Amino acid sequence: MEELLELLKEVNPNIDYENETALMSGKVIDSIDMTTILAEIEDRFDIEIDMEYISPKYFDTVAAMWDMIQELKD
Amino acid sequence: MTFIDLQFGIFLLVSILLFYLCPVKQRWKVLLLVSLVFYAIAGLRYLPFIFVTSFTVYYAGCRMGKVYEALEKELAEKELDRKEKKLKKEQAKQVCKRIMLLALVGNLVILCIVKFTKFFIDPINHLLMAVGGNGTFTAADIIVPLGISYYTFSALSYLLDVYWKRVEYEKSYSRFLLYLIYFPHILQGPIEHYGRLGQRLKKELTFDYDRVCKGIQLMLYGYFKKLVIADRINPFITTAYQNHNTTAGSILLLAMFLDVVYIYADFSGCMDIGRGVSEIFGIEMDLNFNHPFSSKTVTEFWRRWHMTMGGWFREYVYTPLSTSGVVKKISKMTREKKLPAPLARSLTTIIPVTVTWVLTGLWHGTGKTYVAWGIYYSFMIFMSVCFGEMLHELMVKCKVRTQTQSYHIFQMIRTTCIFAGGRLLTRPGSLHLSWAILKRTITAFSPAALFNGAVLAQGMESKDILVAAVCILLFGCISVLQIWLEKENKHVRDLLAEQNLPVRWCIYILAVFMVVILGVYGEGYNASAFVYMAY
Repeated sequence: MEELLELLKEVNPNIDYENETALMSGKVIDSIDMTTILAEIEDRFDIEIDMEYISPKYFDTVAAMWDMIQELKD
Repeated sequence: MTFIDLQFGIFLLVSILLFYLCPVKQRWKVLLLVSLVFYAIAGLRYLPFIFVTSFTVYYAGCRMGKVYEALEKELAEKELDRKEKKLKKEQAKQVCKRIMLLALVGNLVILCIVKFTKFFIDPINHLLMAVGGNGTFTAADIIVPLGISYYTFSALSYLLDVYWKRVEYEKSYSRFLLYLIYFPHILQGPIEHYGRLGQRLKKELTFDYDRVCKGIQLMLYGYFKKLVIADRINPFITTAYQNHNTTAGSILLLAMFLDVVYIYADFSGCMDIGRGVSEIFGIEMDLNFNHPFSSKTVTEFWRRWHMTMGGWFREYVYTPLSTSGVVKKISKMTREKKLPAPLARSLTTIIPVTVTWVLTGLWHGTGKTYVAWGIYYSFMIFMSVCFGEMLHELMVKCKVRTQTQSYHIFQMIRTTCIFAGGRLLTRPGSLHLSWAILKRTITAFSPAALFNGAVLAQGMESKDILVAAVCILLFGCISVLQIWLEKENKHVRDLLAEQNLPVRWCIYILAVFMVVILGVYGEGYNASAFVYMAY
């Protein structure tokens, strides 16, 4: 989880990732940052994120993102 | 039959009676029946088109759903290792991808044929003559089914949502057909997600007096916007643009801004009527306008204007493009090369923004004007996304207070001007005319024309101008009041409901009289069709 947080802060350090609960649905992460985050997650965790995962369900909180990464790794 | 025909009033009354006389569990069937009748009245020849789209997409949804169900069952029953599971998932995904693409391409082809055939009339006539025909095919021979852009997009959103496992597939064809053909949204949208409207249509639709009253209020407000404001100011814009060679630039500028009011009153008016009708049946439809002219930027404007169409393009075009392999590679490259932020953002957004907006333009219309409109907005949004922050920093350095109310008003005026520019590209009908109007506005501005009676030569008499001005002011005041009330999570309609009975009824009667006397039945006025119905 720490690795993911570090990655997210590298992309945009101005977001309070720990406490934000509507990162995607509340448009806290904009579309350009989203592209960068996806590219970085795929690279660092060696996974492929399909369109079905690009939804608030998987991107609204850091915990949800982390669960998605674990699911895709399995 | 549109929402402004007398015939529609009778149709609606009969529909409401049938709906509430039927047992609760059967009411959705009444909605399907009356929606089919509504569509058939518009043109029996349109029905095969909507049946083909609804059936192909429904069938594709069922096939994909069954493939996913079989996969889940297999994964649950068999003990497979990670590699085998991945392979099974990929195989199922491939099968579903083929089904999805077949239905997607097939329906897009139908939409493109309907929308683009008018550009190929000459080659079609040559071809017809070559095979022994008389070659008299004209644009009038093309069948453009009512609401084809709206129902096709709704159907495709369902198709992609099933493919991406965002919704469960619909097992009943009748239910799916109702989702597409539901008459309050078939004319001009909103473009609803199956996950929302489809589910709302499955609820037990019981009678609720307050909700029915609110629905009627909303309809009345919609008629006020359409019949009293939009239809009243429309002749001014048409006359000014038609006689642009002799009209003063200041009058043309006034026409440009009246055109902004016109399209907003016309389109949001239709939405209010549709949403009001739907509320009477107990079904909430998605909001399509959320005070667009209070937007600070053009990107915010498109999140508030025709929200369901913007959302559709964002979800099904922009997001897949911006998360595609090519764009991810560009994004990675910009980070590796540590490019300056505006350049990095420009490179990352240029492909998805341009493709999305050109397609949005083509959705609205198929001429060069709409391609230009798409490029115009691509450029504006591109500038806003890439250089917005830089501009903000510059303002801070110049000690401009960007949080003040006056700066917000400046931003709102800027956004409105950008929108007016976009309308100028499409409303006159050709780019040549748009350019001629713009040129005349700048070169022969003549502000005195606003006060020497020239305003009265634009298809509106002085009393029409007075009525239009008062009604636009009233419309503006209601919008501002609504924005103010929303801060307290309230609505103008709640405020109305809090009043005593005599006050409420006075307002209702006044509103009805305004619509009846100042609207379509006013002297010399004929209601024209809704602008967005053409899409």
